Amino acid sequence: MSIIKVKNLHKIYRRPLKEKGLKGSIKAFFKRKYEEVHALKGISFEVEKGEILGFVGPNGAGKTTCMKVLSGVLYPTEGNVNVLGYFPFERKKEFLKKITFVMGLEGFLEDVVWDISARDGLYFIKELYEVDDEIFKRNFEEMIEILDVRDILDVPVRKLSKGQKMRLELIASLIFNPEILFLDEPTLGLDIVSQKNIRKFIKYYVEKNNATCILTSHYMKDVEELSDRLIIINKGEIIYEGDTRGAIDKFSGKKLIEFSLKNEEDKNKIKELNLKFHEEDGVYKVLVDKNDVSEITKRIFEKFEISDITIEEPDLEEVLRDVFEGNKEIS
Amino acid sequence: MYLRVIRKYLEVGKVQLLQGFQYRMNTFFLVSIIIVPPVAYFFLWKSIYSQKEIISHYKLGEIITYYIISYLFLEIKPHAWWEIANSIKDGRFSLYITKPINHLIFQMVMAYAYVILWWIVAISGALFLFLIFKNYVILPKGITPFFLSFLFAFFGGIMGYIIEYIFNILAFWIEKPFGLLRFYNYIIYFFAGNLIPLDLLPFKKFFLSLPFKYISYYPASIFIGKVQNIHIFSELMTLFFWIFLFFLISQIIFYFGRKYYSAPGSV
Repeated sequence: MSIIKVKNLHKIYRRPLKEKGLKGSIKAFFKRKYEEVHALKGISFEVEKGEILGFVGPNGAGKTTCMKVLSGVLYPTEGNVNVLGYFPFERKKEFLKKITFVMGLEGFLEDVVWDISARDGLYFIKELYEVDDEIFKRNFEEMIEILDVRDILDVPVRKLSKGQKMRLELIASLIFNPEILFLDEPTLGLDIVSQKNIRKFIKYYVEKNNATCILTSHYMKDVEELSDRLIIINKGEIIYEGDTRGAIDKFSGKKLIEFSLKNEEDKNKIKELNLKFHEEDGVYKVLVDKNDVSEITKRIFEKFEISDITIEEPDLEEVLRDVFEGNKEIS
Repeated sequence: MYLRVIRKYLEVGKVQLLQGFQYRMNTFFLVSIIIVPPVAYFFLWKSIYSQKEIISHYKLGEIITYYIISYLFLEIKPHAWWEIANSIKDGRFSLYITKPINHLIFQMVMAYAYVILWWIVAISGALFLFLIFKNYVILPKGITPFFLSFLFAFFGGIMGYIIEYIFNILAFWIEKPFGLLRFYNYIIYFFAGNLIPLDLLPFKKFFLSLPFKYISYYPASIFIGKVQNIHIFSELMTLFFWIFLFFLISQIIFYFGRKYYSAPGSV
């Protein structure tokens, strides 16, 4: 059963423009120019109950805008949006009590109750959402245990580290048992261990409560591990909808070659291969057509002394980087 | 159900009060704000009254008490500075509208809770002024005018807050409504009767027909016994009408303004 239905959704923003320098500022003071940004261009999709939908795309693709429309933050310029039978923009209390929106870089606790202890902050959330004492107590005990925050409950929110704050924001976002989770970059800026714990917790929550989740993340690990289905969005349009494997197959008839150099000085010669390399901690990565693998590998061996080389199927991150950097025409 | 809603907003107030305690030193330094201007007014009016015993219908004691009390009422009222406009501009507003709360009531309860500590400080400041000007100030006759003046100041504060809130949410259309808000905060001194009692002004009928008198002029006038009891009930009803009207306007602007909200940034 679809509990989120989006049909032909458009969102157009008006953005002020300003020419550079003092002259530009003076001109803008008297006559401001605006440009229209078409953030969503008639997208349509549905989400089933209990599903985790990964929403990926480059910056400015329209992922967050879409989530903001679905959660009632933004008014759709055109199209139909139905979430749990509600039009989100109306902000019906019953609707708002069933959804949660985790915004990676900023949290409600941090913005509103940053001076008081995390424990008081969570009790504050309990009252805002009118959660029954028993349900709150059960969720509270369970969540602080799983996310390992018991030791920091009496510390003012502002004194906590980024990872600790994120774990608490996640508890604050889920302690009232929402049915739909909008997670916008829930692991942004966190270390690998924290990212892993948060992913595990989201998965646990969704399975236990048969909740529905729409997730955006720049970390493809989040999307790959959590999502049942993927929507790839670019420039306000959906360019792919299906499973992760399907996305890799659609956008990549390619192999990923990874190698590291024995001699550091050789790195200046990498350009001579005329390929688009991506370097990470001394490991050079390049996506190449399957048919060209042997020829390119041969050239690499001829040109450099190699300390290590692997040829494998690319992961989603590599494929999307390739797509969005324009190596492949998006169709 | 209503009890649950009341409990929710009481919790909002409690949390804000807890936050206020974190900055107690800062709060206590603010006591000077409540003391200095009335002292300046005292010397000004004392020299004016050196020629006459009564000006219009005010005696020196009444005018001194009027200034202390009207200043106290203006200062203890909660403000919607430009924090709300800022949140609309930078996108933090999104954090609030995804919560099952009325944004205005939430912000107002937070603002009231924030000033509760300040009330203690401000009232101590006013008591201190009463003590040093004890030969001049007059006290209300009985508990009723005392209670009524604070009641009007409380509801007048709510009305004033809603007006400031309306200026803030104009940020949906105007990128920076700070100039407007600042202008309002300047003129309110005059329109609320903090500069000169409104009934001493020319066109006093006009000024007394505006809602701003409930912020400080009217409560201070009750305190010094210048208002007849017979008018108080109808004035209270008028104040409630203004509160309702501004609340309605704020909700309409909020609804339509949100259509223009662009939720900038990551939030």
